[in-house]
Amino acid sequence: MRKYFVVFRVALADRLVYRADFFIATFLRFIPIITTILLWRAIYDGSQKVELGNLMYEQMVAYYLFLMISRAFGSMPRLATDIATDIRDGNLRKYLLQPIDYLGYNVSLRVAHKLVYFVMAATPYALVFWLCRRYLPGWPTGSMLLLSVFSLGLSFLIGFMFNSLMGLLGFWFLEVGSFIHVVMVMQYFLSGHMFPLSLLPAGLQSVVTNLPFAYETYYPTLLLLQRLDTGAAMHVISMQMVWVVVLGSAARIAWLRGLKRYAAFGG
Amino acid sequence: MHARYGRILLRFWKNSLIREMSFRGHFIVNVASEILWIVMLLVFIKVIFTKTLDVRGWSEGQYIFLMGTHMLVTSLFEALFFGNCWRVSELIRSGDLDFVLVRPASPQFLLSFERIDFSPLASVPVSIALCVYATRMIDAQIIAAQIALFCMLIVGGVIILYSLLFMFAITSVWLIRQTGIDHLWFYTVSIARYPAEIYRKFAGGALWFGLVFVLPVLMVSNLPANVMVRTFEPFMVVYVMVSGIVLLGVCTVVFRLALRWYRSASS
Amino acid sequence: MITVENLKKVYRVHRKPQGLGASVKSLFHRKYKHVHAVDGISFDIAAGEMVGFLGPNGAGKTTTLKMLSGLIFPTEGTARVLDFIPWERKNAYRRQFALLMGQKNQLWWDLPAAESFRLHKEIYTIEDDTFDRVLGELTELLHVQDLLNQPVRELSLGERMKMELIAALLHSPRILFLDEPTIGLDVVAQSAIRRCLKEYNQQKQVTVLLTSHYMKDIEALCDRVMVINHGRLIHDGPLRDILHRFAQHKLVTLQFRDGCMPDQLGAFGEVVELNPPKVTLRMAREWVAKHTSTLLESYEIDDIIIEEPPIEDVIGKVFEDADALQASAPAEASHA
Repeated sequence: MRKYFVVFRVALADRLVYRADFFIATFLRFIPIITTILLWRAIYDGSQKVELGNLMYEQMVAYYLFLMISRAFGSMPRLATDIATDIRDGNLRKYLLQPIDYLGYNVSLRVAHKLVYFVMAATPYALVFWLCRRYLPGWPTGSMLLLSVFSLGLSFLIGFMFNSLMGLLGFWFLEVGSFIHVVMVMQYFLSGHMFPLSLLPAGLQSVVTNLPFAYETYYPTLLLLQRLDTGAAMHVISMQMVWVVVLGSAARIAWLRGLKRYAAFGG
Repeated sequence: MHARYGRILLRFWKNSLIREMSFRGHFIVNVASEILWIVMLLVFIKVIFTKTLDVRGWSEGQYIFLMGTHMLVTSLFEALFFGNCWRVSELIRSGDLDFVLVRPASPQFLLSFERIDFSPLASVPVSIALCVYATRMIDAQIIAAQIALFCMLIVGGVIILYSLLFMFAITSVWLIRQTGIDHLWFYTVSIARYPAEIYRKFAGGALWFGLVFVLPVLMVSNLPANVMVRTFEPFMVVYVMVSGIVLLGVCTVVFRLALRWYRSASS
Repeated sequence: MITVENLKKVYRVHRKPQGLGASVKSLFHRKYKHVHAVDGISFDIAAGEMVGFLGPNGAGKTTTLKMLSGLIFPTEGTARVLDFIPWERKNAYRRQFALLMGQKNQLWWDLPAAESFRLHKEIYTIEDDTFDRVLGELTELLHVQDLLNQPVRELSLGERMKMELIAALLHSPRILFLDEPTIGLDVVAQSAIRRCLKEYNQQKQVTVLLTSHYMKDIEALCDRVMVINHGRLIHDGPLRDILHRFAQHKLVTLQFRDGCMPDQLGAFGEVVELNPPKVTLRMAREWVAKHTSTLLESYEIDDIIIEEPPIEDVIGKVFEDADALQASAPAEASHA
């Protein structure tokens, strides 16, 4: 257990090297949100309706803001491609020789990165949220807050498991990178990142909202938005746990089967 | 002298083509994800226009035309210059500008034109098809002069994008930043894809002014689209063409300064 | 052809902080120091010479080379190469020299070398027939005819370096600046490159300036060696002069007949190696003649070898002494 902490600590120091421009970079991340919000202002004005997709304009703005948070938990940039590259280039051998579990190692890495990101990003995020406070719902109740935090933690796990699974496909497909790229493009749409899934026509909506992407990003965002009552929230969390188990098992199986195949081919 | 640079350019293109041929897989994947992206965008547009009849004065057809124009300009830039801008920041980072500086030719020319990426070029016919589809939708009557102006403004747009991004890349001799050129390009594309009018509602129009007249990023896609399917403002056309030339000049000056600094400070 | 006078290059360098506490402090308070990469170097090189720059890492060899190829501005001093001022970077000057850096790649990675050569042809405006002839000569000299159409990334390090060398010589430069050209190469590739350089220097009278920390390069190629350390020129002249100047000892290896090796050889010199019946002594240069004749008279000796000490050791010692001098006179400045 200790070694994971060491990995975590080294990654932490590494990240702190970027100073002031990290601040700027984090602020810049809000640009796409600003443009999207301005677009929605135009759409609401044009529609002359109060609610679109069950959301008022203020809630639509808050949706994109909270989306940043759930995305911060669930996104695993380059995890899939890094794993695939490790497999393809034979770097895996290095990890197999060490008394450390490869996936566990990656989890430590990601937790460290995320924690550092949160610490560094807390101030700019807080500033932006404060500036936009009139769009945000009031403070959540204690129980809702707890459920939200729990949901975000599960979001992290779903994101990790899914991306690891994709990377592990590299044991069977050499050019899995292309596949990963295509899935990432689709994920932008399917996770509610482009627009809230509630805007989709009913048929499409019922399909998309049952995919893991929705549970990685869309539903946790709705939870933060306080659009779900306790019952619905519990349902979301239980579905998230289901996905964690399903994807986690799939990843573990892929790892074990893949290793056998890897060794058989002389790695 | 120009014949020589012409022959060098031809060689660059030939070499890039040979290189691209050895990466056939990439091309197909990029085309696939481009098409996927367009489908997702069209779904979003359809969703938007079920809620409103126009977005700040842009009808569905005009909006789709804007989307096609935006795709055309950005693809051309990506094909011709993005890879080179990326390479410049990499060369600076690794201290390898030396080989370019040693050649008996303009380093700016060598750095700006060396590579062409053919994958983004695949989007060119697709974007033109999208524009044609949009003009059918709004039943527009287009005259030859408009098409000529359109082409000229596309070229102007690419020049503006080149000047801004090449300048950004070369300033990494002074600054090591977190925001790489790929991030900057992403933000530029996010901003330029929408009707300029939506930006008027932010900061009392200051943002709109800045993005139209100071860093004319908004005009890169909006203006050619306007000229073809909406309004024709001669002042804006002249302004954008002039600012393209001015920005190009500024870019060249900044490049020279950056080289001077690189040559004083590097070992 | 090359005239350098009192060339200096000084850098102001941040001191990178170590550890978490120092990183936070460095947000507010930066420390600098001045690094004298090149500290007043002067020399003249005539056309057709093959000169080696020898020195440890960070001695200033590469910096000097970069100044002469116009890549870096000097802080002080003058240089003229072929009657040009290098850092003005005139096109006419850039056509006359070539720069080759070991382990750095200027050829297109995914393309056959032949395509990069054709690009060179356009950039340097080489005539078609000249290009064909020179390329033919070089590929034959380096035996790479079959490799021309293979992507560069598929070539071994040695083969790649040969291609880099061809690229450098295609435009028939009058001066060749080489920075660690054989670093990382296997022995066969190293000697092929050296052979090519030697031939080019002799046949075409190309002036060669070569930096290396491999003695073999210098020994094989250079009649004249400039030893540089801490940005200063310590020695400028033929290689053997270094030995005469800096090496006070010679190595004498004696092979005694079985059972005849005496115990006390300390009077003759320091025992460096003891493998009975062989022994190697380090003997003061002036005493070699006398001691060896004494030994040959007094004992039964089957074989005797007298050698210069390895140049690496000699040079290493020279640098050590120079370092000791440097350490006693620090040149640091701390700024807020």
